[in-house]
Amino acid sequence: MELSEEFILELTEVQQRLFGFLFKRLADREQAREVLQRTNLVLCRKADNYEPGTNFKAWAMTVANYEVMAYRKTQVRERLVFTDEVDALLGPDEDGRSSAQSARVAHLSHCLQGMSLKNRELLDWRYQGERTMDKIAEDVGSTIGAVKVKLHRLRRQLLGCIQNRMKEDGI
Amino acid sequence: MKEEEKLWKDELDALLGKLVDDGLTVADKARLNEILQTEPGAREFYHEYLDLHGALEERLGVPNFSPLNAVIDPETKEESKPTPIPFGGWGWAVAAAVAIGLFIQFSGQQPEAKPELPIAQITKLSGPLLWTGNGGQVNRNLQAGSKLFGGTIEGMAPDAWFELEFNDGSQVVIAGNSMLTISDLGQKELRLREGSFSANVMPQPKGKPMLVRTRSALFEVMGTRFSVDAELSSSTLTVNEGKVRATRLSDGSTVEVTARHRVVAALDCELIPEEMPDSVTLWQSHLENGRKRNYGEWMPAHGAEPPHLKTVPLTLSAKDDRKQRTIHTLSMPVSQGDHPPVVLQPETKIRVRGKIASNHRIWFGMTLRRENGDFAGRFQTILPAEEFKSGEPFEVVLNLSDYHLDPSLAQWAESLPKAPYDLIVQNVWCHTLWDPAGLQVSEIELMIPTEE
Repeated sequence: MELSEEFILELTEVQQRLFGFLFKRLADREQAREVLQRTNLVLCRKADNYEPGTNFKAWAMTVANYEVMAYRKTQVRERLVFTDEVDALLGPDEDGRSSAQSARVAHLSHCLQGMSLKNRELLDWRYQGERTMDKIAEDVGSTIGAVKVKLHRLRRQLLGCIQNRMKEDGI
Repeated sequence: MKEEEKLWKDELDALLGKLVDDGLTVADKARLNEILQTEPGAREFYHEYLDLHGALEERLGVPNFSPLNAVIDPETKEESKPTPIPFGGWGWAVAAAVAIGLFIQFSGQQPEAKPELPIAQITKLSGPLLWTGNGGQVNRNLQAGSKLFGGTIEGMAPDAWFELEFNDGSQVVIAGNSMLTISDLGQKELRLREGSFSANVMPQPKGKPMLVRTRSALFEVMGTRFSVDAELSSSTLTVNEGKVRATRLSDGSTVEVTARHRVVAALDCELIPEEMPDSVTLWQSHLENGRKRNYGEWMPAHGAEPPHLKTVPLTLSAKDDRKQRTIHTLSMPVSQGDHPPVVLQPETKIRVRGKIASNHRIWFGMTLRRENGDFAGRFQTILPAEEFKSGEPFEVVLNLSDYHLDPSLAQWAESLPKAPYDLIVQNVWCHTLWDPAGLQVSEIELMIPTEE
C-alpha cells in the first residue's frame, strides 16, 4: 500500500467532516468512531482509485455511506439508534448538504465573533476537549445540567445567526 | 405554531441536546425515531443541529486523528474501541503529526526485525513522546497497551509522561524531558541518556540484576524502588526501598545504597551514600547560575534584563500539519539532582516573573511525584491573555488551590491525586499554544506567605 503525500493530507483533512457525517447517521459517538476507522481502511485500500485533483471529500463521503450501510447490517437492531426506516429518511443526500455545511462553517466564524466572551469561552471549553463537563461546571460555578442547557441554547443562538446569514446569501 | 408541533419541537430540542452532550437512553432513542419518522420538519432540524455541532467541532476542536491509527499501526487495528492517546488540547495536534508521520513511514512497509516476544508493555502515557525501536523505527503513535520490543523512549516536552511494565511486573516511569533505552535479553538493562526516571523493580533472577547505566555510573538492582537523575557529569541515585549497588565509572569505586538513602556519582565529590535530606517547602529558581537542567533557551542578564529562560517551540511541520501549530514551552527542575525534595503545602503560592511579547493565555503547571517516587500527575492553571500586557514584564502570584489536574490525564485520574497538596514538585513549567507569544520567565518561586 503506497500512499502519496497528497492522499494522506486529503485523508487527514477530511477526518472531522467524516466523523460529523457518521455521527449524524449513527447518533452514537463510539459507533461513529468505529465506522470512521473502517472507512479509513477502505479509503487506503482503494487509494490507487483516487485521482489527485478530483473531489476527495465527495469520494470519502460515498465510501463512508457504504460503510454505514455495511455496519448496520452487522449490528443487532438494539445496538443501533435509528430504525431502518428513519435511517433511509435521514440519509445520505450529502451532495447538497456538503456545500451547505461548508457555508455553515464559514458563517460560523462570524457568528462566534458576535458572541460574548463568556459564552465563547464556554463553547471553547466544550469543543476543545481539554475539560470534562464536570470541570466546566466547576469552573463556571454551576451544575453539569445547567451547563448542558446553556450549551444547547448557545447552539440554538448560533443556528439562528447562521440561518440569517445564509438567507442573506440566498442559500 | 400548533400545540402538537410545539410539543415535538420541544421534545426534539431536548433530545438533540442530550444526543450531543450526553447520550440517549433507550426511551429517548425510541422517541427520537418516532419524531424523525413522522415529522419532515424534524428531520430538517436534526440535520441542521448536527451539522452545526460538526461545524463547531471542526472550527473549535483540536482534531482527533486516532481513527487513523487502524490504518497506521496494524497492531491496533483489531481493537474494537481503540484507546485514544490521552493527550489533551495541543496533544491532539501532536497526535496529528504522529498519525501522518507514521502513515508515511509505515505505508508499504511491514515491520520485519522484531524479536518474537515483546519485553514490556506501555501502561500509561501522556504528552509528546517518541519511541525508537530496534532497527531505528520511530513511533510517536504510542498507546496504552502497546507492546514494546526494546528501544528508546524520549519525553519530548516537560509534560511528557510514560509508564511501562516489564513482563515480570517491574515498572519504569519517565516524566518530562528524559531519554531512556530499555532492553531485556535475559537481563534487564536500562540506559538513561538524559533526564530522570523512577522504577519499582520486582526481584530479579539470581546473578542477573537489572543494570542501569548513565554517563557516569552503573547501578545494579535486584529488586527495589528507586529513582535516577542523570546530568552531564553526575548521576544521582535515590533508593526508596531495598538496596542498590552503585559504581562510579570514572574510578570503579562501588557502594551499596540502602532504603531512604541517596548517592551522587560525580568526580568532584565522595561516593558516599547519605540519608535522604528532609523535605523543604520553599524553592526559588536561580537562572543566574546558568542553563543547568532548565528546558528552554537560557539568556544571561543583559542591561536591565535579568537572566531568563525563553520558551522553545515544538513545531509540527507543514508536511505533517497544514496548520503548522506550535507549542512554546519552558520548564525548570525543582526536586531533582541533589536538591532536597520540595513538598507543596495547601498554602503554597507560586510566584512567576517574566515577560511576554504579545499578550496570550499562559499555562502554568507543575509535574509532581509522590514520596515513593511514583508519578503524581501534572497540575496546571491557565491565566487569560487579559492578565498580561504585550511587551511588558509581569509578575503573577498563583494559589495552589487554582491548580487542577491536567485534563489530558483524565483517563488516569482514578490513580492520581485529586489535589496537588503534600506532593513533591519534580519540575515547574509554563507554555503558550500555537502563536509565538514570546514568553520568557526570569524567576519562579514556591513560597509560603508569612502571617503578619
